Amino acid sequence: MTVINTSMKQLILLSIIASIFGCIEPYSEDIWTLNKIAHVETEGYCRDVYISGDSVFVAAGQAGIQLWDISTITAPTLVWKKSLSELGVSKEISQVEYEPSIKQLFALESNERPIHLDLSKGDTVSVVGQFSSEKTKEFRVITNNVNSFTCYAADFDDGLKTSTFEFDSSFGLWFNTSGEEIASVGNPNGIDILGDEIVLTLDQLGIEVFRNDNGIITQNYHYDLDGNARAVLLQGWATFVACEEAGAYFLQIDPSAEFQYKAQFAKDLFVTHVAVNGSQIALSCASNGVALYQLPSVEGNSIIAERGIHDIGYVYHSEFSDGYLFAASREGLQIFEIEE
Amino acid sequence: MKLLFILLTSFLIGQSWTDYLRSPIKWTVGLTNGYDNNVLRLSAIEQKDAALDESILGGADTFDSHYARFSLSGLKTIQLNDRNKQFRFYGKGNISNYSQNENRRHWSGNLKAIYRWGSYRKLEYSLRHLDSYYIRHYVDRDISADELASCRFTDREQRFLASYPLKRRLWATGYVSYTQRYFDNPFTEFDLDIVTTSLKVSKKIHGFGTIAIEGKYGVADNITFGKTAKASDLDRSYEHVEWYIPFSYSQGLGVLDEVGISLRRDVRQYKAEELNDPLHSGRSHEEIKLDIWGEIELGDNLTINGTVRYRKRTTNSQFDWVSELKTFNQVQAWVTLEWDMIYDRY
Repeated sequence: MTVINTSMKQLILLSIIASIFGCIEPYSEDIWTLNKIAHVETEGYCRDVYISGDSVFVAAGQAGIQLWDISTITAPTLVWKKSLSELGVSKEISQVEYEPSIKQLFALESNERPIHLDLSKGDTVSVVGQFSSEKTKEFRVITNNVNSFTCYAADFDDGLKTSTFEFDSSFGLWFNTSGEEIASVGNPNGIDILGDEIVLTLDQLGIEVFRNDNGIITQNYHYDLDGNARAVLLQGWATFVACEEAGAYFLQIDPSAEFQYKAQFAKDLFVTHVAVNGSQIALSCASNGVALYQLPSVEGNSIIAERGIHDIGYVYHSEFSDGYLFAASREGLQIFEIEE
Repeated sequence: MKLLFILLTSFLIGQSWTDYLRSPIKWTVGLTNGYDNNVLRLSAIEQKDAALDESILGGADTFDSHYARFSLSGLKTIQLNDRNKQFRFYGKGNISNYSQNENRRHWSGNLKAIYRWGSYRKLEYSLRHLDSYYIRHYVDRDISADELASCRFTDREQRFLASYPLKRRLWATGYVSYTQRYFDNPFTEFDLDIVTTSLKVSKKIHGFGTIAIEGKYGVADNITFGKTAKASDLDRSYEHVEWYIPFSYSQGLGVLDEVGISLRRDVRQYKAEELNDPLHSGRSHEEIKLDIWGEIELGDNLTINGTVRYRKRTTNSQFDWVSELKTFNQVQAWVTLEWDMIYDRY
């Protein structure tokens, strides 16, 4: 019979100690984690999202427009919804934008015309009507004063199209008082505005920059980019362009209106939209979900670092708000917290 | 280190420990020359694809490669007062170089502490390290849709082994091992902790040779499942069962002093069940390795042995294209020259 003798015990003890010191630590990757906070079923595809305080407006595709309350971020509640028939349209809703100062809501019937809704009358949601022209791809609304706004539309047929509305208090109605069309180099399919700068994306032809000088809009310059320019985001210190199969661009403009710096990233992804929050970049990548990137923190470092592709569904658009990432996807509206 | 030293010396209480250390060290220098016909383990389809897209080869020009391995091992035996009992400390280091595939250059090594108290009676603790072993280039799906990156892993295996005689010239060997298989960046989504148990029964047939049968069962836990980005959405945990039957004939055959043959069959079932991912969903594979070897003793201290290995991995999937994509064959052949030396300054 074999007994455990002292030498055996000592070997076992040595083995236990060696095994503790013999372990290795795994490597860690510099990938950010997406922690899902909430997931909202929107019936139709969630095509776009606009956040204003605790109100989240959703372009819910064939389910129309929805307003969600996120005062409890983990449990959004539906406030109201408007179906396509209630909106008087037949195609899906692809964009939504809210002007809180005048309490007016705008939506886009996909590849058709923008829809104007009045939310200024308490709980009533009034459909004012459609305006501008067909084949509008994207729009931005700028409030001029409490009784006036101007809609700037990327009109695939006509270029940059503006429509100014004024509120006539005697009738209690909004009237389209003026508007113009400014021809663009190509067919626009995206737009963004910051201050007096208006940028259109022109599909294969890159971007075109306009300057708005007290209502007089003039073409400033045109800049070609790889891929199909689809969406643009102006941040003042930088311009981000989603170029579909060519990924995305990070551009910095100098006062003389010439691009000083250009960096292309996510070249192997199909990028349809860019959202930025500080150094965090979220790219909407259609079937690839969301791709996160980080802007260089050190000045002079030009490398935009990859922080992970997150397969959260088919993502059309994403927005940052209050540190959260709102992703508009075919699977509905998803709210995430980024853990760096 | 100090602790280990104290422990080591404390084993030897009862005798002057310096007396124990006055035993020779056996050194063995080995040089292996080998050939691998499919270093990257590419399937026939992947080899065809590589003709159109060389990036699959990760910078290599050929599928096959010559390789050379240099090894150095040392064995220190410490005889205890009881003549049947001894401690053995063994260490081995290998450096391998693949002439046609520089990515595969790596080193490995192992350390063992063995306590023997008679024939076929031993307890053993071993620590094995395989450093940054290159598999091939893969797409890093965490950050890219098509860019390839070098995929390497490091293994650290710790094994507790016991051997005990059952009958005359019949003995059993069992072990439990814990392997940490951690991948270098950017493929940490493959990280595994593997626990394996094994039982082997060996029979030495007088005037003939040795035959054995070994069964292994292992469970691998994918510790980074869900912890990176897109690439870790898939659970790469698996279970595997392996059978190994080696047979060696030690009575000489022609110029060979010893010949042997072994058959190894490993069946691995992956845990991943992802309906949207046919490439990995419900996948399993069966791997067969057939080894034939022979050894010649060129002198008292010099041996040469040669091995030929045929390896076939058959991947099973409900989708034929997955099976075809991941099934491969490999032939390896190598010759090792070993020179034993004794260092004894006492």
